[in-house]
Amino acid sequence: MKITVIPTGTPVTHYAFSGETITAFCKGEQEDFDLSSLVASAEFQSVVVDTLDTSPSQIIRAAYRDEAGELHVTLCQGVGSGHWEASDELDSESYNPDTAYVKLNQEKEFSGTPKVTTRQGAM
Amino acid sequence: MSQYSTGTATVTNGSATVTGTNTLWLANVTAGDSFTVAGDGVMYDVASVDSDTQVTLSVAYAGSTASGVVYAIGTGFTVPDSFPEMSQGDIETATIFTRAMRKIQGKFSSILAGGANANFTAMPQVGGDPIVESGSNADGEWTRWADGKQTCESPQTAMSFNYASNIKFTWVYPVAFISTPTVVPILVYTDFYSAYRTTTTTLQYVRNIFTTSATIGLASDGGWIPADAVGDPMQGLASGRWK
Repeated sequence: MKITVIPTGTPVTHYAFSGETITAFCKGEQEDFDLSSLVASAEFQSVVVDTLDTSPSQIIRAAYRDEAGELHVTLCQGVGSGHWEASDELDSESYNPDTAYVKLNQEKEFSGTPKVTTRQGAM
Repeated sequence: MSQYSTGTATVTNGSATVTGTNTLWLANVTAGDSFTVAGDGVMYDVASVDSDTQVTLSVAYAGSTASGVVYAIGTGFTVPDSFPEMSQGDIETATIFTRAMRKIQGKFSSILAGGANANFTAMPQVGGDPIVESGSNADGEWTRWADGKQTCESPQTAMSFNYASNIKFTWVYPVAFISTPTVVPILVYTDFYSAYRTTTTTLQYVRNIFTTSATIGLASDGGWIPADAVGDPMQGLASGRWK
């Protein structure tokens, strides 16, 4: 599975991967989202939130399966002050929940202290 | 001790040059230190240290000419504002204290006057929150103020076909509001025409306004096809409170 991490205001702190199932962790809760039923070229339907008290768009923003059968998923990482940009696409196997994947644009001015959230909390 | 007072000094009214006896000023005094004669009650800035037995003040000495007098040169200052510091054993402490207070007062006055002296290196806070804070992420730009006001601006976003009279997108705000904000929809006209010239009436709308998202769209009297949704993008502005 290929993932891209985009900066958002999500309260989800991190994810875990098992096959084509993504587990999202949020406010001490966690929930599994099985994307294995997504067929090539199918339109991704927003996740149905049962446990996590947040907007579905803040958990899994988008997903599609390419013609080779590989899943491409857009996930969210919480950010605060600063101008933040999406990560490069990476393999889910290399995902580290303690890593800030989104990138701070150092050239644009902003007010406040840059903040990004990982499993370790805001930093 | 934050003072150097070894030896004695000779001062001359109207002259900025001070001469020392049994002094080692080169090793113990630097330009910017404060010179005072015991009992004089006035401090002078040292402009230069010329030798072990001579310093030059920044202004001419205004007191009475005297030789072999007890003196002190203050060498302790706060960083970065250079307010005089006192240590046990210092002399002329009342003079040092007065000078420090006047410097502090001057600093406050210059800050209150604004301009370059009020050019903070970090955003000042009110009640623990920055006066203003801002940023952007995949869902747009935002600014919030310490008094609780917050505004958000979405990226220009292509809409999705919902049905023949409705194309829309769901905007997740870049940061959440604490209560339902006011949201304004904006159609960004980029000369796309297939839909907007064939329908007689369009209406920009916003609905399902929550603290984290809102639905923004364009309604018509019908007749749109899915291809119309990829035309002009829309944008949202939200204003409300973050605390």
